[in-house]
Amino acid sequence: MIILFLLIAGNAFFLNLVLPWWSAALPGLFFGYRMNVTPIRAFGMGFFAVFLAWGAHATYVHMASNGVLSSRMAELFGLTQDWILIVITAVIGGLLSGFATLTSSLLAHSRNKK
Amino acid sequence: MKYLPFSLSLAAGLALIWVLSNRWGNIPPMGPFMDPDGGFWAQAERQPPSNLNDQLLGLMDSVQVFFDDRRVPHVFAQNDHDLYFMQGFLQARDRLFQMEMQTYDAAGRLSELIGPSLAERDRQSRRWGMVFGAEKAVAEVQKHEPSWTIFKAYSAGVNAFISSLEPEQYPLEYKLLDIAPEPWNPLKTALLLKNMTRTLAAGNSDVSHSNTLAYFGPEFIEQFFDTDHDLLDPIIPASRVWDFERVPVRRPDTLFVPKVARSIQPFPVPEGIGSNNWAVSGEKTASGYPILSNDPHLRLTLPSIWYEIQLHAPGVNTYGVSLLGAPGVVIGFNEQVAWGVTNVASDVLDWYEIRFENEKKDRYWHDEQWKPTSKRIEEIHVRGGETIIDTVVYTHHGPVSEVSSAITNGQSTDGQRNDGQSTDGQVGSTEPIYHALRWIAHEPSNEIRAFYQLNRAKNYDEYVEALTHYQAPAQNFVFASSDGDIALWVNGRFPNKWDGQGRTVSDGTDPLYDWQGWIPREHHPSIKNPERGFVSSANQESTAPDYPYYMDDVYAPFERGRRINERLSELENITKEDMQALLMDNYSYHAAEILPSMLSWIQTDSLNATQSEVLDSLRTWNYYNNASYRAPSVFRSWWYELYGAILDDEYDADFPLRTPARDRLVQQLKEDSNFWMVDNRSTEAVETIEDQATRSFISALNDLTEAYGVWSDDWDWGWVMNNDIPHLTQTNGLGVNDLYSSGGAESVNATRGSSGPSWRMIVELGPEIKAWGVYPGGASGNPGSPNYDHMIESWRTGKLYELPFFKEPPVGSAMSAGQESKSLVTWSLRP
Repeated sequence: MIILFLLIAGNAFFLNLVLPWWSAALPGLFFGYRMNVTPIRAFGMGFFAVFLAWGAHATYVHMASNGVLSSRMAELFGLTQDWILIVITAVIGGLLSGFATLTSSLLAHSRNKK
Repeated sequence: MKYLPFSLSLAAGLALIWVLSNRWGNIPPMGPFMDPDGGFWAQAERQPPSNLNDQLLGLMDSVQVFFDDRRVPHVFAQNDHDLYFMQGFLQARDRLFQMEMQTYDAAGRLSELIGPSLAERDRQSRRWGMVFGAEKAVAEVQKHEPSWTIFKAYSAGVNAFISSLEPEQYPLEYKLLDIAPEPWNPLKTALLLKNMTRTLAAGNSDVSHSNTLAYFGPEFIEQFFDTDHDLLDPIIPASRVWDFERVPVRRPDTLFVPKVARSIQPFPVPEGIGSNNWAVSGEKTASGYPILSNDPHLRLTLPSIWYEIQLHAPGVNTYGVSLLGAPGVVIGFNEQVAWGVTNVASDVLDWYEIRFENEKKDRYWHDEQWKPTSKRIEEIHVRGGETIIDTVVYTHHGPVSEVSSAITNGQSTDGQRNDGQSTDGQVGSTEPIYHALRWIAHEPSNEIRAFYQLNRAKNYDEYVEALTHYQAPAQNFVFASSDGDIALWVNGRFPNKWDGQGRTVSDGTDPLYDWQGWIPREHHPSIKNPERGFVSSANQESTAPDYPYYMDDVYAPFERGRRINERLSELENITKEDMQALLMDNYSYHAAEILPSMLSWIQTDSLNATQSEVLDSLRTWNYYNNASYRAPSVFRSWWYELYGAILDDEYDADFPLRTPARDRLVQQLKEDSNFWMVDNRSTEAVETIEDQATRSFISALNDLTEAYGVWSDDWDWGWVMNNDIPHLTQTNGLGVNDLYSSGGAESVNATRGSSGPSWRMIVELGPEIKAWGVYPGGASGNPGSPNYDHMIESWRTGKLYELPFFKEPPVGSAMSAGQESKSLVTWSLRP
């Protein structure tokens, strides 16, 4: 299980470097099909894997740039703390991946019911 | 049924992607925008720029660019083409969004990017013929091969940068607005220059002046608008003798009385637009060589309106600030000369009341005959809205606006009011009123050629020749050379008008109201090496009243100009530090003139203890608008209240009227403190100036208390002047707020809320030119770069940076990385 989790997280991170934002859904779609878990766990794994990948990426950018832009964007969105922006980034990636993983694990479930 | 959970999950996932892909209101598409790799995070600068050794397609020869520690590029090219190609490339790299916004604005296309909220501004831009003017300029530029070459080279450079961009590399604002850059072309450069003309030379009070004349009568005009302030010290010293006869013009016997119009002036010009420049001769300086200084005052935005650059190629080596979207240096210096500009408030925009044959507007009456109009169909594409089709009718004067419909469509909703307030019974008329616009921006011109030559000028004569190509917006071009010359030309193209022509709305049917030619260049106001040892300008009147031509009556109050001239007269052995102190001079001539009177008028027995304490702070004030003083805050509020108490009752009309200039009203009050306007007409009692001064003082303190709490450091002028520098789009988070600043509208340091010195420059001429400068911003237009706003603190505190001006490539052609100067980043580019 932990391997699938890391595979989703790692692939999401690297795919995002070459593909647009929606690539966060691809590893979940691929690995979710091979995941024999409850729907809630499938969603959770997908979600937290990319939450971690995107969150770590955004955290790195935030730190490496001394927060110059993230503090401006936080003000733009009316946020009181810069880190909320990182959380929002991570949640967006997480949701994409969560639904992707859930969708493909449900597909696997449905097919196996035959 | 067994696929139902799957289908639901799939649908939810797809719906999520759809929601995240789209812009909702002002919220950018959150999926791409928050993407940690390609979204806004990509604009967070993680490393400073580094050396580069690469090919750049489009160059003709190799080019070196050195970025100094403020990231100002110093371009060393082998030919003009590559020089301006690189300027375009670098400006786009640092400021692409700004370049596009300015030209979309000029072209009346903002609603394409932003949406319906800007459709009205776009419509006005079209009706003002901005594109019409820009197209004429491009046709003119094409007639001069070298100019056309640099226009094209500059465009190619911008496009080389744009085409190198992947969507994730788009500047932040493109991601926020979910838009993409479009290719640059020479028309856009022309549009940018028209935008400057609109900013600086669209001021006019034709309608309000006509109304004021009709409402208050000619004596009022004479008293408040024809009379100069006693302390006015014109730009060209009054001692200048005009030894020529003016070119005559025919004038009408009686002045046309236009229909009273209620239109609100589009594009109002706030007092924030103004500037200072001066040059002192070597006789007055410690070095023995002239020193020149310039600080153009504009609305302050991030990114800054200016872009600092050094341009070096065979035949040219110049440094200074350039405009985003135009090749060349606008304010700066080269190895022999320096120059700077301030705005000339000459009247180069007139409105003509037009009589159409019928509502088809195919013909209009002029010179005793019906003449055909032409029509230009304007299509305004609106993001998220329907395309607006607007037919703009052109007469020989220029494009026509319907002023009464502007009322019903525009800001005021009571366009049909009929309350008979006017003196000649025309207000409330429901028939449409048409005004045609005659404007210098519609004349063919090629300002870039002027800057091209100025950048290469070696002496006074070449400066003068360069200026002949400059038309609008008219500027006071100050000049100094290492030969020891100082000079100032009031420069631009000025219509040769009869006295007062175009001050009111003109008769569009009578050729005597047409512009009858131009003031010949040799008659333009100018001065070279005057006896007093300096030249200066601060937007005040160009000349003493004996100048034979009429130019306008709307100039800046006397205050800044007089202060500069007094300081420059007193100073000897002038150094850069003296000039720097003068740039930051906060003295308020306005307060010095009127505050003693206001203090003498106030009835102290009606004040409470706190009010008396505040009053005492005014009594001991030295009239400097320093950030740490509270007195400037109190004085400003008190003056505004008093001004309102005196004028508001007389000016209670629902059509625009012209109000007296600040300095003129001050003088009137000092001469006759109980003149007829002082009494409030809407009350039974007859108010004296003592009543008005006391009441307005108390009222000012109440306002200040409401806004800033009890009398404390929160009343410091530094806060109360409310100096914010917003982003171009006014987007929260992208600007800088609450800069604790000194200065004021009437001070040489004209910093006030969100406008003021947009570039401060001092140049010391001589065998080795030395120069200093600062602007509130940074080279980079990227809000994710620390360079974006890094100079603001220096600007706020009056610090200047020494400008590194290289005569040859600083690191040599056979340079190896990081050898000679560690602080320089080097680009070596080859075709």
